[in-house]
Amino acid sequence: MSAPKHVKQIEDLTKRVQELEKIVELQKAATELRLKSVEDQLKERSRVEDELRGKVSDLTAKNAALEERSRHQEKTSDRGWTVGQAAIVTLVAALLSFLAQSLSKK
Amino acid sequence: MLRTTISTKSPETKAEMQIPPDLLASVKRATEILESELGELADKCEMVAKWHFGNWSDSEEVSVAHLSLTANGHLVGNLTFPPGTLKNDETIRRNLHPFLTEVGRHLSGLVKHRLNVLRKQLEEDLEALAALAKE
Repeated sequence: MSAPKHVKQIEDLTKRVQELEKIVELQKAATELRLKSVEDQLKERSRVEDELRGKVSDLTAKNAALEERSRHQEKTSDRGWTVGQAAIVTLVAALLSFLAQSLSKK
Repeated sequence: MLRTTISTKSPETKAEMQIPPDLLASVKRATEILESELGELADKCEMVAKWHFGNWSDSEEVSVAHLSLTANGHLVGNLTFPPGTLKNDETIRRNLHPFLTEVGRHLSGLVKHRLNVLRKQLEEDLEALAALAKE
């Protein structure tokens, strides 16, 4: 009586083990998909980061060049103002001297 | 293998929609990319990709593609491709990757559930076998 029962039980167990194998395979494929998509997203992020780093580096260089140009223009502007001031003083002095001479003649 | 259906009928009104040919071509390309990204997963379970179209926000002029993916009859993800995201392979992949991570997570959940069911069945089988052995 128990022999056919045993056979049935063994058949059932074999089916379950086969199903288990299928599930494990599916889990493996699902995990691989997750890993691959996360990996691809990381690659994409890394590419964007590199791009942004390159842009930051370009902008830093441009900023440094602009600052240098600004400093140079400030210096030139200061020198121009000093020369202008000296010219005005000289002109005023010459005018005063001319007026003084004119008054003394009178 | 991934089974694909592309419906050009509106899900709400069931009326035929005028889909630009370039959008249809992009959807076909996205399907090829999806199949290649799914890899052996598409062989290990019955996966169905259903595409349909809709309007972008309230604009009736801009059509967008929506994707519903099922695995063994279970919905594992919905994805909308906003305008411009079906432009080329790179933009398609960029939009697909976070979706596929979610699909993988969802499938793992389904597998976990099936494993639990199987574990219970195995326990019952082993108990029955032990009872038989005692007889």
